[in-house]
Amino acid sequence: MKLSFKYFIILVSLVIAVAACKKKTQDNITTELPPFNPTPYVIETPSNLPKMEVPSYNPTTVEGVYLGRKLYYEKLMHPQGTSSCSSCHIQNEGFTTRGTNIISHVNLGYHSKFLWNGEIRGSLESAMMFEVEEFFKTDFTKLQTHSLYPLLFYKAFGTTKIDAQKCAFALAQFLRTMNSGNSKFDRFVRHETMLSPEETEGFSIFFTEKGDCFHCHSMSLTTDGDIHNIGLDSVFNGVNAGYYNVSHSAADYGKFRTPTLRNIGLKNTFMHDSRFQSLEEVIEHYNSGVKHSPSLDPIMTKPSKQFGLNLTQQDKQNLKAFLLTLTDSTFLNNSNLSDPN
Amino acid sequence: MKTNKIVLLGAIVFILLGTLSCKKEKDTQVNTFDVKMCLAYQVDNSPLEYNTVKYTNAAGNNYSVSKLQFYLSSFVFENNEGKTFTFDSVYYVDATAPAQLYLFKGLPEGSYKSIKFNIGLDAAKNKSNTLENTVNNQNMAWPEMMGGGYHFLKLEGNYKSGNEFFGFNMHLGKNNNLVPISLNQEFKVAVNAPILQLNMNINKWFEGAYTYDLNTDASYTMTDSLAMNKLAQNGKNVFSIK
Repeated sequence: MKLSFKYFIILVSLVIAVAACKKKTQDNITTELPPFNPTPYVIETPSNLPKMEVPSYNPTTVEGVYLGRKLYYEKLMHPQGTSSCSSCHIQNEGFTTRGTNIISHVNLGYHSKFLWNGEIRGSLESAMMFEVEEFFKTDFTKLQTHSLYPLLFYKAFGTTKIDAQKCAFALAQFLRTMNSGNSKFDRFVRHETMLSPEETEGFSIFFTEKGDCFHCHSMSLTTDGDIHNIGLDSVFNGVNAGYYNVSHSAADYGKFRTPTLRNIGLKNTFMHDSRFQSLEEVIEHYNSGVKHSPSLDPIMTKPSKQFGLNLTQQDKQNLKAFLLTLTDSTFLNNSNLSDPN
Repeated sequence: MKTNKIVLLGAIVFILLGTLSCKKEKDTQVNTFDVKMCLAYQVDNSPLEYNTVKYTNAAGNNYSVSKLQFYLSSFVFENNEGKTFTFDSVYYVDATAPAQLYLFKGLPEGSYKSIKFNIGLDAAKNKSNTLENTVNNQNMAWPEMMGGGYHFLKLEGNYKSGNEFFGFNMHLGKNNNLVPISLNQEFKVAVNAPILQLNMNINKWFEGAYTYDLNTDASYTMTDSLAMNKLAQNGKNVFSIK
């Protein structure tokens, strides 16, 4: 009896030891994970930029922003591992690619309409879901089996399971930090610097009826985030039909989202189809090239505008000089937005 | 001893007075409720449909509406006893966005005889960078080079002139074009009171004090004080309570 009691104790100890070992093998990631305790991230923007609304279902955290930044530069987002967001959205080119119609990733946290024709609507999270699921068609197993990402997702979202929503949420968090607000124009608005006489004249053309740019390129984001037909065409085919291709309403022919003008001086192609190759051509469009159609934005059909803006050569040069003040070298060189790898 | 008695008597009187005053307060306590308000848009008796040239104003212009954005501010509710209740909030309204419910909190129960408010912003608020720095408020900004402040109203669309379509931009701003609204119609503030619906009749912008003709008056008003003033005068009658 004494012997069998001894065996009983040994048996119980063995069972406990095996059970403990088994648990550790099954759950060897979660048992080694630190407590889930993300740090809130305060999105700091200059005083002249608007207050940014952040959805309560995806609060910005240090860990989420860092993960989003990693993913933004991560080629595994592409199923073949060949491209990341940053492949086309190049920081020192204003998070776009010169010579293309790729939309700049700047101040997107303020928007609710995305892509050129505004077809993706809602939050930045919705736009990033589109990017992950439709554009990249990301293969999540590649991230899931990566040595780093499960832990980074855990730190950001409290789970090591990687899916489209969490990728989109992390990207949205990072994009909300990609804010340009320290161009010469911004500093002028904040009374921190002066514009040259030429730039001041251009500012005046931009923000008065003379050019009437401000109704769509409104302060200080230089976009109202809405869609408009600015008279590029009078007949609408294919991609030039704009939001019509989504709504199938004739009222939406030729409507495209007002692009930001931030860092416009770095670009060498303009409009949704890259039809213009210089700022001079863009200005001339508004000055004399607006084409009439029933869906033309009312702002473009004001009596003076039906006959062009009547800008002089000097006016056009001044307007261009002002547009060049929208280049934000702080944003272009912000190390918090660069490749973390 | 005598002092103690006086102190005791004083305390009793104090307590009694306190109790009575509490009772009085309780007797006169009035229930308060939140007034819920919504906005609706019509052209005469038809609900507003956007982007369709199907409406005719008093001047005979056929027109459509593509954008309708404005501010409402300085709400004052007056009850039948003549007491007024003021709300200082500013409401930005985009009529094309999903309908919202506007809440006016803590109005005493009872019958009311009027609501007054402004379309636009009073002079104290109509200064650049006075309103909260939001995307909507930035989009409504009236550039400082043009006097500063905010657009009170953006009413945009197209109208037909002959066989051609032209745009119109009824933009209203500047302090002298504030549009005071006074709706004198009895309504109740009570538990389960119906939502107060304010209707804006778009055609009223073009009629009333002045018959506004998009062919002969300005089709773009922002730099035309006379045109803005005509709109502001007409605008006093654009709202009604359903």
